[in-house]
Amino acid sequence: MNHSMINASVSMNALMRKLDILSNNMANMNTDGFKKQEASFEDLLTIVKQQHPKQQLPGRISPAGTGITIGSGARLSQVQLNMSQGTLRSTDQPFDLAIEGDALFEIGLRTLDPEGNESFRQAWTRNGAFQASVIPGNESLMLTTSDGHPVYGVNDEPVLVPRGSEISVDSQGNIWSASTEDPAAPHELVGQLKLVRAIRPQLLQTHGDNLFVLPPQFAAQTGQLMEQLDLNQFAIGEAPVGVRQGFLEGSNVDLATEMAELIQVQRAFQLNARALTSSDTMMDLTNKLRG
Amino acid sequence: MLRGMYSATAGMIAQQRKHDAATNNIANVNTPGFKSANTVMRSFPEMLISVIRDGENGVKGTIGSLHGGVFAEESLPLFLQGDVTATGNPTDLALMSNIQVPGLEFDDAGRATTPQGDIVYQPQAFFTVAGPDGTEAYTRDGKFSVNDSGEWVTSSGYRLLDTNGQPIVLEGRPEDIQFTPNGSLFESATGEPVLDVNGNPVQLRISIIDNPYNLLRYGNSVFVLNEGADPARLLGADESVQVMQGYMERSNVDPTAATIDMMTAMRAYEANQKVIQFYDRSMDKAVNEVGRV
Repeated sequence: MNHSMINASVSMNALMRKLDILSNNMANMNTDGFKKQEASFEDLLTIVKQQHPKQQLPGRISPAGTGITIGSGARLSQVQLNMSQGTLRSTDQPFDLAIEGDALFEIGLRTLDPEGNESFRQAWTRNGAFQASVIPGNESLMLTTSDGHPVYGVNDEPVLVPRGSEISVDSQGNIWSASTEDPAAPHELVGQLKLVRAIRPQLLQTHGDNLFVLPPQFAAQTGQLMEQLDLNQFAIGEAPVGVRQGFLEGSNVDLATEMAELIQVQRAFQLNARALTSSDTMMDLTNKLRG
Repeated sequence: MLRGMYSATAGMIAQQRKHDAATNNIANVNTPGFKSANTVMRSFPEMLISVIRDGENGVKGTIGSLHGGVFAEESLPLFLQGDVTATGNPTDLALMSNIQVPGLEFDDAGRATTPQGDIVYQPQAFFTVAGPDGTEAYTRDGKFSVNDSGEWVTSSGYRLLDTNGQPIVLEGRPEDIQFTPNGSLFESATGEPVLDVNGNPVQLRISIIDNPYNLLRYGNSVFVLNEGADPARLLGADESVQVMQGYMERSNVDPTAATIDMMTAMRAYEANQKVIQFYDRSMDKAVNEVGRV
């Protein structure tokens, strides 16, 4: 019955959800490798209310017989990831890696099924705060994220680094190890980091822990949707993507933009709340017709 | 009997509609490409009132004409250009449309009077999408995204069409494509035009609707053409319409005007309610006090 009330409440709901997204962005302003989310609105289905035949008079501007259209508020649509570059910050830690350009590290998301078997699912991240983890029964150390998920190399295997060595990573993602005991020994290539580029970044879902995954229905197309980059083919300085050792990528959240959006959302919320009050007053007036 | 009571009731219903439209405008202050709606009110068709037993006892004729009330006749979108803001997102497109017709000067609401005295409306440009049931639909909401098959879609999944009426399909990433101001696509790396399967350059289907009031608001940010209306035409070479990539057109709702509309409608509703109460009191007197000794 009361469209005003429906409009206002539907839109307040959408604005609330936008506020949630904004606050999540602002909360992650200092999260390394965080990519902000953006959302926009869309108006909802419109009802065409036909006029009584005797009221279909000539002289209207819109075509005859089309009645009056009544909208039903706005909804939140298209929550998208903004994959733009964050600022690089120097940390001087050998296992801190940052990507310059449009690419993602590939990692194996460790999951346990009810029987306790380990399985790995492809996931991607921009957070290069890696560490070397001990694996039981193996001499080498495994390069993992801070949550222990293995980081993949170009051969789709976890990257292993020798114990007791100094690690250096070049801009193409090649990992070299140098023995700490014998500084004169030549550097040994132990692997190359797998870097992929999202062809359809909108399909990526956030998975928490700063990871992105593809929804299960696109699992079969992973190869087409996530293009593996071969950085060796580019001459030095010409590659569109580079790895920087000893740096971390900050989040791409810009506080000024978020605050401006926040103010806009707050004002829109106030306006809608006013509309709700106004339609409430109208209902009150109807109730007091016989007063 | 007391005709004014029915007029006041009609007034309340009409103000309610006006209030609904204002609230919907307020609800869409942040909707990209939204066109604000204006409610047009009209009085009921005139009735001719005559005296009972016309002509008898020398009493002559008609009393006069009377409008029985008011109704919200139509809800007109205001096709004014919304503000364009930069988003930096390569899938966001904005349309700047200011089509001029020789010999006519359009006012801010997009209206002009011909030398013959007819009122004509400014033609408007729209993105063309494959709307509900596959028919063409028109939108100014440039918040597109690219789905898993590489098609450019609106938030509701309507596919963006090219000049041949085919969906625009992207091979690589949205960053690899750029748009010229007339909507032609070219590769940003090479500067070569993007070709379709037949080897023809791909161009956005930008539809010009000569009388935009033939469009019906459908919801989901799209408009559809009313049945029997003049079909949309393609963008001409020298018409002042511009496609801007990385920008979006904001809603053209003026929050101040919408709030004022809403308050006016609410108070007019209140006034009509009061009129009904006055009639009620008159009837109270008629029933309970006339004839009391």
